[in-house]
Amino acid sequence: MTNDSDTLIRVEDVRTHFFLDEGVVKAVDGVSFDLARGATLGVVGESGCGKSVLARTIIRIVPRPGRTIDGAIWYHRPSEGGGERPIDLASLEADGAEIRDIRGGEITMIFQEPMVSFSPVHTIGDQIVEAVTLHRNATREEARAIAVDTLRRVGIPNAESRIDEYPFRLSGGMRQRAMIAMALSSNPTLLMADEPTTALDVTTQAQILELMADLQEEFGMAMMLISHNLGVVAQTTERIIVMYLGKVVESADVRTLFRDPKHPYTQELLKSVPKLRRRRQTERLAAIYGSVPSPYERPAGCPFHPRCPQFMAGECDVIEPTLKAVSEGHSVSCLLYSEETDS
Amino acid sequence: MIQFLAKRLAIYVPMLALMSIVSFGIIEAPPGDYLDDYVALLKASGEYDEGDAQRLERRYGLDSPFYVRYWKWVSGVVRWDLGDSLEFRRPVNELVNDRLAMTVVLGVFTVVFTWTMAIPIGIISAVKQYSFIDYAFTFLSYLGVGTPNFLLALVLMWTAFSVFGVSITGLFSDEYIDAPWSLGKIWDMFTHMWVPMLILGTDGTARLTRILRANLLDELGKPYVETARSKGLSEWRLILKYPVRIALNPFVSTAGWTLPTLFSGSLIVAQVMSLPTVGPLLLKALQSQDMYMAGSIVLILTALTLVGTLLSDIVLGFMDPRIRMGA
Repeated sequence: MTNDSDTLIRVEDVRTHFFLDEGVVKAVDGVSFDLARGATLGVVGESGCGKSVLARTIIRIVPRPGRTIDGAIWYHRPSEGGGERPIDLASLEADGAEIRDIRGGEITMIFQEPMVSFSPVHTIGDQIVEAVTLHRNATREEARAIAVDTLRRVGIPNAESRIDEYPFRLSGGMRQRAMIAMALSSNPTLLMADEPTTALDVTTQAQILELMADLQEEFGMAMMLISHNLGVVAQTTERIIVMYLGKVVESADVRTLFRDPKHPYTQELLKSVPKLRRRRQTERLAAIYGSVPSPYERPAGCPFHPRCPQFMAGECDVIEPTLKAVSEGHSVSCLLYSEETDS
Repeated sequence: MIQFLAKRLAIYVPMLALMSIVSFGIIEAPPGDYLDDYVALLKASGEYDEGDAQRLERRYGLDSPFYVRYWKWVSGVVRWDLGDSLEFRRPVNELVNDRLAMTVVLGVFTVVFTWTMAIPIGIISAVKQYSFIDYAFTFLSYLGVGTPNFLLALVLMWTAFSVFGVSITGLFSDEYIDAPWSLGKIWDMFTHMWVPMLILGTDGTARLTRILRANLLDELGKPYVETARSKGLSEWRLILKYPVRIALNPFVSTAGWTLPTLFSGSLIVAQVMSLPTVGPLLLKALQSQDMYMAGSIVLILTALTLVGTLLSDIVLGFMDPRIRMGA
């Protein structure tokens, strides 16, 4: 727990594991981070690193057989008389009234697939109005007015007629805008976006990212952007955490991370981002060696060691590194930077 | 919606016409014509009259080509004149009217029973997948699918008779069987209806439960369910509003076929329980080559199937905008 009045969410050593017949998948395995009010955070990693599960853990919608077994998620909930009250979201009942009040109201989420994230048999308006009436003290007419207004603010033309459209009548970009409108309609304190642009074409991606950055400023909410794409995250967020196999391997602000990446995994990730001004145009785009290991057979020691170009035999495959600060606001979980190996 | 219905009707009306030709083909299928059989029958009973025979020949156009005979028959059908039953020597429509009404009523009751049982059970089984209650319902539904209806009917009849000393056959008490329709008779019918409804509905309930469970399990994993959950809706509310609604679509679209399935499926049960429905009549007609009766019943069943399908199309159109708007 913290007394820092600026903190919105403090995640402490959270673990969400999936208990499958084949074994236990440690999707999120001891993640900690802070998110300040109105701040932006990017969560980056390859598929299967646990970034999506992390977001679902925060609002407690981890699907079965996944369970959050350890850790705390301190949410500094604004209370009516001003001020705030910290609540551990991890300790709440997943379908209880309190978390449902926060979920979709104060903390909202946007999903990856706008094409299938709306119910196909209900109108966009019906689905947005539902969210508004759940979390705001509004009649149906007021809720509808709020919905139309939010749709307009996310750049949907003819919002007052589009609101009665079914999702399949809108393009992917429009649907994602409607999705954003739904997430904003309750005036959240935190908006989480899980790969919001992955399913869209590149021009639409840029528009949506710009829109989200604008809205984040306008609404003043905090934003957590989850992506496998470092470029997407760099454009829209101030801080980045890099995840690998359920653990945070590096955490820094965007500038530091791009200028001075410490963890070999981050370095490799950055190398694999295509650049327009490459010294030799014939140069091949670097790919990270190997692939993400099977979730049932996590490597001993540092989880990245089988793919690491700076692998130290007898150290990396034995000792499990922990997240340590290398400079102000920059921490890395790698044995290259721990005192034990320096000496 | 109107465009959607017009398209449907454009398919169904020619299909009905086609089916009437097939039904007439059934009537004409046995060797010899209808009159030969009739004359033979009358001669055997010693009531033969040359004038009768000629009148019938004119009425059915028996010496004219196929299309004339068909036209005479089908224009009669439109006026609800289905020809004469050879077996009962009465007009077919007189014989069929009451039984048809009874069959439709029993069919509707069975569908209502089936749905009111299958929908909640299917939902619970899917939502609580692999729980004790799911396994219990799974066991029961396999039992339900596996037990032939007529066997269930026999077991129930035997149990009712030997334990309670009551006969549960038929749809009416003895005093009402030949009585004219009255409130008392209708009430009597309802008190008898539940047994065949239970028997006929068991199989359908078991099947639909499995189908709904499978459909709903598919839908529960869809992203729109997660979206609804992330809005803060309570679990039951969101399940009933979103995935259940979509998982029910196949129910609605197949509801139209339920009626004919009940006819054919209920034939043996109706025979065993001596229910006054159309099924036993069709069986008897086929056995005695009473072809006007058989052909008419086949055509009626076909027409009911098409009407049922049209009704389920309409309901489906209302339920699913993707179908209504042709997306």
